[in-house]
Amino acid sequence: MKSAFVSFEDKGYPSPREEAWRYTNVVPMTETPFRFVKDSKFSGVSKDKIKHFVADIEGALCLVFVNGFFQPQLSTLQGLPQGMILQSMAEALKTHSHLVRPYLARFADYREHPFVAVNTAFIHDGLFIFVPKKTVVKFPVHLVYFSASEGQETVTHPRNLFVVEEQGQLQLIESYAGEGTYWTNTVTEIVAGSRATVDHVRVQKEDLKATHFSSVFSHQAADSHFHSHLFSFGGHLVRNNTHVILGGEKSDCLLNGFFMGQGQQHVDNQTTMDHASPYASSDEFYKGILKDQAQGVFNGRIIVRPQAQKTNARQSNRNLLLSEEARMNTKPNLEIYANDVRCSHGATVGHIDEEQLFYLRSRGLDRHISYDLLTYAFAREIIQKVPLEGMGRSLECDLFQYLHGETSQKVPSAALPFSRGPQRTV
Amino acid sequence: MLNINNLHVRIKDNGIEILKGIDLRVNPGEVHAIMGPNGSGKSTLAQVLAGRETYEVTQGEILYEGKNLLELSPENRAREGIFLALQYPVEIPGIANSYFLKASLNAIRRHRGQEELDAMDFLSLAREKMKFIKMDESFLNRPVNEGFSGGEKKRNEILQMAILDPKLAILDETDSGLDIDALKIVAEGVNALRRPDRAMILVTHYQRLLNYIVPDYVHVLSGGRIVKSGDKGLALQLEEQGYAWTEGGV
Repeated sequence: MKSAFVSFEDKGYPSPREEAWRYTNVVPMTETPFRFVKDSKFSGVSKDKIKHFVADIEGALCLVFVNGFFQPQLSTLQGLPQGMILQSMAEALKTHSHLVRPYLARFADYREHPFVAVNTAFIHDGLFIFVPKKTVVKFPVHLVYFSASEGQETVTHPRNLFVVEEQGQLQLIESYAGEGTYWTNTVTEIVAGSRATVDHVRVQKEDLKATHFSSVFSHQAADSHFHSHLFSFGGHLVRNNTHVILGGEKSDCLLNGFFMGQGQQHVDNQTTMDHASPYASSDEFYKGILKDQAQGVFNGRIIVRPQAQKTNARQSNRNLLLSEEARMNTKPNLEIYANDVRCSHGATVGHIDEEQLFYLRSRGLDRHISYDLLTYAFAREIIQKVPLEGMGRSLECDLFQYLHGETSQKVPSAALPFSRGPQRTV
Repeated sequence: MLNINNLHVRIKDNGIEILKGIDLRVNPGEVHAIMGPNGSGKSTLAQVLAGRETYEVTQGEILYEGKNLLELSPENRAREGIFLALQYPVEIPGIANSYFLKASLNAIRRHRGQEELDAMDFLSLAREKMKFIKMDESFLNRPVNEGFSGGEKKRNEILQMAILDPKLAILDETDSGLDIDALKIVAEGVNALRRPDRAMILVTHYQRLLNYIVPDYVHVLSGGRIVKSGDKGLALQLEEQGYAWTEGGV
């Protein structure tokens, strides 16, 4: 898109002098000569490799993209409900342009966000989903974006657009992973019609050398539900941006996030909850665990527009530091222009709670086991909110691997401290 | 079983001395009540026995089954059979009660050289114990103490005690915050756990609990010392006359 390119050319890369980029310096990253992959026929990635990044969810459709291009041979597609469209963005722009154009780049504001501008300028592929009126999609749709840099530093700009019309229902999972030094700069737009329900899970397990910028922009009509869960594990430099517009009366949004940083990781989380209509509610809960010399950022903005009376907005950010060197910057940011609203926010940064630690030890559990358990428990509070059960198990495996620095292979679920085993109740 | 000799304890952070020479001897099968006004050091004594590291023992010794208890970590004390029911049980979101209980029980069983219980065996044990203290099974799947009422938390402590099968149980203000019905249920649970080879120490501010759990001995703690000891009659006397009269006896 030409205007996006012009916008980016005008503003250039953001500098730490800008408030939104105060804690995240992108200058070193912009000096890396990332190359755009032009070849869509890349076949160096096997189904087995991809399997490792796919959550085991019964009946899920799995759509695989390698270096930004859709790979039908690695994907599984079954019968879609009548009228539902599920296409690669490249295809959809050709065959369903009339459905794509009204929404593409409508809510992802590239004038405001320089990396969204870059993505928009270079749109080449991604996924387009259209769920027509009153259509309930019974199986989750799982997108896997895999980057393989193969010795040269590559960049991809995946672009997704999910449109769910009135009373439609859709469950989505977006996973990002890869190998090598590369940059993923992804943008997803979600449009929920009135009384629509959209569940969205975003899991980022990029290579620890990778740069990951992701932005989700959603717009909700009246009485719609948008529940989003973010899990950020990998990447060297990470920025997760979520921008929700509650555009219709009585719409509700649940925004959960868990991020983890270790070694030299820098993980920046930006959220905007824009209450633009009355009687809408939002509940935001982000948690982070930082180890070693990792740095974390949480910048949570709530805007309540003058017309958005009777807004109910909650925001909470809690962070656990497991080392003396880890650093967290958390900044709740409320801009309230209506007078009849309920808004609350809170943020904490702390270490493992000594009272909890003593409680576990006084019941016979080793100090280090108690410490690990409390660390898991901290993250698990977010994982448990994910509605798809297979997804929860998969995330627990991820958590285990990242906490123990074993990211190379899949952990059998029996090895997990919380494995439910054959008996669900225990 | 437990021998406390001239125990002096202070708070690590600020050096304030709380216990100023405690002597106490507890034999298997006995139930001892420790009473006293607020700030007398009752809870400190309970916490020190369980190994709370915010306190420092400056003088004296605690022998438990002939061993120096002060050398053991909190987890090893638990494995050796000491159980402390907390005055304020801690909430742990993210860990299911069942997971916590099973992990604790198996840590203790391993220490005793017993085989670990698998999920099925654990579940039937937990169900049996829950029935016995009239606790709904759904509490197993809920995160530890999270969103439990005061009474539910205390009952959860007694459930842990019933499952972990300690030799020495210390109940710190288990009666506080309970209404009369909850108190009766908890007391029944505790009474049923009385055994000739198990000792109990009840820490309480009020005599009320002792109507339901009748102790063999009552000790009055005041200003960091035991100022009176006697049988259950002492508790009744305290109820009538308040703590003030004990102070004159120091």
